Amino acid sequence: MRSAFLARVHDSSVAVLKALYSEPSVLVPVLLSDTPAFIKAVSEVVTAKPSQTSRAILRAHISFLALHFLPLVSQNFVEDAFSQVIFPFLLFSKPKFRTAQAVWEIVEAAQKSAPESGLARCESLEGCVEIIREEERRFLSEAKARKDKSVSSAFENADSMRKINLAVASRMAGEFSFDFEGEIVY
Amino acid sequence: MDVNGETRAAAVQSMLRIVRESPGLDSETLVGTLSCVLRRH
Repeated sequence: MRSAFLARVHDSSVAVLKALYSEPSVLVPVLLSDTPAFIKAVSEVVTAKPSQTSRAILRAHISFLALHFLPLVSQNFVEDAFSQVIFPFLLFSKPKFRTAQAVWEIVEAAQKSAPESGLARCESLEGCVEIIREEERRFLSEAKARKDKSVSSAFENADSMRKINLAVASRMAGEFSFDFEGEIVY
Repeated sequence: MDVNGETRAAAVQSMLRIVRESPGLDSETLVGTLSCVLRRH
């Protein structure tokens, strides 16, 4: 049964993935019988041809993984899933900022829904959501002060994207702390 | 959605239903039941 479900992880139909992930309480126990196999299957799907994988498909896989699966596995598997599935989509770029934004929203939702496990305990992500939210607040507050309504999201702004990427990458590398006045402190 | 996608989605839902409604099924019975479901779709 598990291998039949794992085979459907590779399905390219959003409807099939929605059906597959529609009952986490039923599916998760089946997949937990071979945790590495599910992480590997999702990793293969999302990283095989990332430019051809739609945002809806990415969202389906990463949402289920982050919100329902990772809170129930040991932390070494969380770190594996983070590096193999989630990390490749975290940095912002002009063509991929919507994907990065969607993945960060999933990460934030997962950390809130299971604050003691899963991605909330992922060392590599520690403090990263706060960095992004702080940069977003700073950008929107400056745009408001300028009465600039041309850009509605910080994630569309090249300068904000660059700052966020640098801050997140540095944070993951453990190189600086971030004060909540919006300044990056090296 | 393509017809094959609909069929596969229905098959997945049937598989989930089998697991949900038959938590005590041994793996052999489960495989047999699953084969029937997949053939039907």
